[in-house]
Order: sequence, then structure tokens, then C-alpha cells
Amino acid sequence: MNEAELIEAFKAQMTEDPDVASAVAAIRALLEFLKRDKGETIQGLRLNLKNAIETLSGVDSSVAVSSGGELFLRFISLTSLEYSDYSKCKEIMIERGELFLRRISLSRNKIAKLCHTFIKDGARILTHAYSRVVLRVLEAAAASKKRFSVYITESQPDQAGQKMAKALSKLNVPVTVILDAAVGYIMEKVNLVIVGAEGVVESGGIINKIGTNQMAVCAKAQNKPFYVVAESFKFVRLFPLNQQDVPDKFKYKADTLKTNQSLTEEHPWIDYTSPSLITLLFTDLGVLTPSAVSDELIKLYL
Amino acid sequence: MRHIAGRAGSRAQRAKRVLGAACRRGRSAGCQEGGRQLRWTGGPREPWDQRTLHRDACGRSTGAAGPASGRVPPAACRRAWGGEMARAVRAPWVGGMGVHTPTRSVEHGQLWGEPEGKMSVLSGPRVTGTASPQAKGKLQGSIDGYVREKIQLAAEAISKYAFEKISDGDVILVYGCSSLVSRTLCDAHANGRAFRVIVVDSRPRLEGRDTLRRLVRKGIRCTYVMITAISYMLPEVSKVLLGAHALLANGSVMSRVGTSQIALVSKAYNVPVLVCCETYKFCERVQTDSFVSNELDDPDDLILPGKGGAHLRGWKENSSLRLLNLVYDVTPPELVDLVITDLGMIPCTSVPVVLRVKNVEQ
Repeated sequence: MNEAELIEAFKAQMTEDPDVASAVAAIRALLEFLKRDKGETIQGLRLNLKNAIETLSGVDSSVAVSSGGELFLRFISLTSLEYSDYSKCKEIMIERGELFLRRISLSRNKIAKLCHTFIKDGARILTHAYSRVVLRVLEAAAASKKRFSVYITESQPDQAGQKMAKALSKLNVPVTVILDAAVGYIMEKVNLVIVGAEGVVESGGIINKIGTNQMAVCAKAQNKPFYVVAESFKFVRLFPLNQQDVPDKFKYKADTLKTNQSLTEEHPWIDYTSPSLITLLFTDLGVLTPSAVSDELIKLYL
Repeated sequence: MRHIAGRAGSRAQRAKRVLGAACRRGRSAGCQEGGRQLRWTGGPREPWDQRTLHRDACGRSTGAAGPASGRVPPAACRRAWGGEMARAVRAPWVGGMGVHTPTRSVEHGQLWGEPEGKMSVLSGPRVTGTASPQAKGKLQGSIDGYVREKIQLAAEAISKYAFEKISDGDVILVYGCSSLVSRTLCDAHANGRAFRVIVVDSRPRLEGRDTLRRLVRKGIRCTYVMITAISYMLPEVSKVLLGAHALLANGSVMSRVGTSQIALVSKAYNVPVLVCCETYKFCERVQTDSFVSNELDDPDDLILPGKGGAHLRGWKENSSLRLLNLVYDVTPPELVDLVITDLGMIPCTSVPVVLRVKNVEQ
């Protein structure tokens, strides 16, 4: 399976199931790639998979694709060295890959189950941009007969908030779309803030759509709890010290990186929220405080 | 023994070398063999015979700091501790902070006091008065291996990780003298990063001059200031790189006195603070402030030579004047942004996780 086919498979997964996270689609494509790989050695296979992950990051530059890919690779290679027969090893790796995929497809439901209890009856929730995990959480809360209303920022430049508002109104949840600039104004009215994340970094901070950091700062100033919902495959081994420290390859879209040489004219798509502003993180590994994220990362990666 | 230690390498390396040498010569001058731990009674010269605060306050001295280490603190110094200071300190201490290794510093305590890790091999061969050659050989081998892995290679690993955090055009502030930090900066410069360094120094040790010498020799652009000037310099600093003597289990950093001051002012200016520390310096102790346990240095060092010292020179006769020269201080974890270890970059709060992982491994 060469690069073009891999990219085709990835894009096919995204269009087939628009609700799926881009990282899950990438992992499904990688599993296909693994099944069809014609190499004869484990090292060769790992190298091919690494290159495949690079290729996919070139198509979709979000943090989750690269972190999900790396975790996938680590998970399947855990037991790869036990058998001397290559085909047996490969079988085991494919099995583990399917196990990994099964686990992460259940992660959103686990998170929704954990988080919806934090939404009390009559709550006013503020959220940012379009996050499918937050949508699932709010679905679960609505299903458990809670009444709540949602404020959503319109999230320029791609108006992702409008998409979220449409999805929420289908659930019969009262939604109000506000300007990105109105976050400080609306903060005193809301009870809690829930956002998704594109990546969760080692310090416990998050990388998310631009505008999240200022929402977190306003929430802190007004003493409102700031909750983050993210699946565990989004945990990445980065440790940004400030906004500038986030690598450029995540800040801009993949096509911009390929075509544009000077990135100073470009507007970044993500920002970094520091762990001191986050109250709790809801993941499929449980409800974590920001300082516990590093523990989990050490367990996942070491 | 001291001449063996030499000047090269960090304190820990010198300490290890001395012990290795003592073992090789079969002398008990440096070792008490046959036990679970090797207590190190000789070693690199400290300007003042280090007595830990609580030992002085209790008037107790443990086996390690025996007559081999020689000098007794002058009565006047003990008086300083026997006085109000010790009374104030003794109270919380007696409340049960008890656990403290009897050796010279926390970092040495970590090397020798830990029953885990490579040093657990010491509990294996029970050596009697004249150690058998295999046991000695095994011991030497494991000491060498430990030095190589946990100290030398760790320094390389830390330098590599820290290199990722140094970008072109950075202004880096360093304090005092840390072999790790100097090595990191020299390596980064050798790898082509363009940055400049502000070296902060403080009396009475003036260790910053060592760092300054090393960096200038490599051609790095440096500025030298005293610690009193840091609020003037910090607006132009992009990050602060500090060394550590130990990392405590609650995430606090124990380092040379003055470090917590730098961290505090950096926080006020929103400058990220990075601490470089090898994993062997991770400690299971918890300390909430700098007074619970610390070391005293020679109070006479505080007196300026020449005319400036005239007022302080008669302090011993003056009953209402005491000079206090502390060696370490404790920086709370909220002021530190990142710790760079040989295991990677971790937040301050993950120290107990690393300790747990290490325990599981061994």
C-alpha cells in the first residue's frame, strides 16, 4: 500500500463517518496499511508505519493524528518481539491494533458517562467551537432528563460554533451563539465551561482551537470551573512553556505548511492553555487533575 | 583522599570517585564496609564542617560526621543555633520531621542512603575486615556502572532534552554554578544555537564566576549581575535555567540559597523557570520551607574583607548580633514550570511518580 492509497483510505474513512475523530480515522487507515504491508521484518514494518504516520500528519496537521498514531504504534509493538516467526508477530500486531481501535471507539461513551453528572439541572454551559466529545457529553446529559442551556462562541475563522449550535438545537437544547469577543461579557452568567481538546500535553495543559486560552483566563478570573473532555489517545509528549513553544507543524493547517514558506503572515489555528487554568480533565482513563496527566503519560509511554 | 577527587565533574562524581578509590585501596578511611550502606566520612573540602540544623539543635551527632571529618564548629556558631533560631526550629522539628540522612547533603544522602537501585548490591556481599577480591571487584563494577549511567549519561540526556527548549534569540538567565546547566549551554552553543546568557551571582560564595568563566571560554555572550539586580534584568529574559541539589517528593526544589528568590521574581514577570536535575537527586523527603532542615556555612564568610567589614567583625562579642549563612533553600513547586531529567521533561508534581517507577524497576 503506497502513500497515495493510504491518503485515499484516510479520506474515505473521514467522509464515510463524519462523526469519527480524525485520529480514529487515521488509526483505521494505519491498520489497513499494516494488514496490507508486504515487508518481511519487524523493523521494516515499524519504519513503514512511522513513515505512514508522517504522511497522514501531512494531510491533517492536528496534534491528535500524530499522538494517536504514535500511541497506536507503541501499543501494537509491545509484544512484537516475543515470537521469532514474522507472520505470527504480524498477526499479533494486527490483533492488538484491532483491540486498540475497539478501545478507543468506546472512549467517547466512557467520557460522556463520567462528565454528564457534573452538569446539574438548570446549568448554563459555555463551550467553544465544534467538539464531538462535548456534543456526546451534552447528549448524555440531555438523555438523563436534565434541563440546561448552552452558550457557544461562533469560533472564527471557520464558524465552527454555528455547526455545533445546529447539532445542539437538534437535541432541543436552548443554544445561544455569541461572538468570540463576548466571552468576558458572558462569563458571569454561566455556571461552568466545558471544552474539548485537540491535544493534551505533559504539563496537563491543552492544545485546542484558538480562543480557548482566553476563555480559560476569563473563567479563572470569575472563578468558574473549566472542564476539558478529551480521549486518551490525544495525550502527547509535548511540554510547551508558552504559546511560542508549540511547534509550528501543529499551529497551521497542513496545506499552509506545505505551500507557505513564511508563516509570520499566517494566523495560527490553535493555542495552548496552561494547566493552572484547568480544573479537571475528563478522559477514558478517568477524571484527572492536570498534575495527574503526567502520571498517565508516564504510564502510557514508559 | 581529597586529592583524588580532583576538580572535574560534579560534586556527586567527585564523591563517587573518592569512595571508589577508598574501596580500591581497601582502606576503611572512607568506608564502613559490611553494612547495608557505605557511609562516607571523608570527601571534598567544604569551607565549613557541615552540620545539619537539626543535629545541632539536638546536640546530637551521628556516626558519619565523626572525628574523621575533623573540625568542630566554633562555639559561637553553635550558639547561634542554640539560641532563638534553634528554639524556633526545634519545635516544628521535634513534631516529627525525624527522617534525615546523616550524610553531608541531601544529594549525597540520596546516593548512599537509598537501599534501592544499584546500591542495593551493597547489601549482598557481606565483607569482613579484609574484603574478598570478587566482592570488591563486583562493588567497583557496580559503582562504575552507576556513575556511568546515572551521572554521566544522564547529563548527556538532559543536555539533549534541554537543547529542544533553547531557541535562537533566547536570553537565558542562570544562577550560581551548576555543572549540568553549564554543560547544556555549552552543548547548545556548539550545536549552533544563537543565544545570550545572563549570569546571576551572589555573596558570599560567588559561584557565578565559575559559570561565567566556563561560558565565556566557549564564546557565549554573557552578562554578569548580582542577585540584587534581577528585577531590572528579568523583563528582557526569555527563560530561566536552574540547577538543583535535590527534588523533594512534594515537588519542591532544594537548591543553592537565592534560587527561590529568582524563581519568585521570574514568576512575577511571567518568565518560564526550568530546572535541570538528574533522577538520582529525587528524594522521598518532604519539606515545606527552607528552615526545617538546612546547612550552615561559616558565618565569618559574610564579613567583607577590608574596611567594609569593620562593623561586623566584632559580632562574636556582641550578644545581640548573630550572623546566619545558609547554604540551601527550597523553591515551592508552583514557581517551577518544568523539570528536565534524564527520563524526559516532567512537571514538578510528577516527582513521586518517577520515584514510584524507579522503585518498581528495582
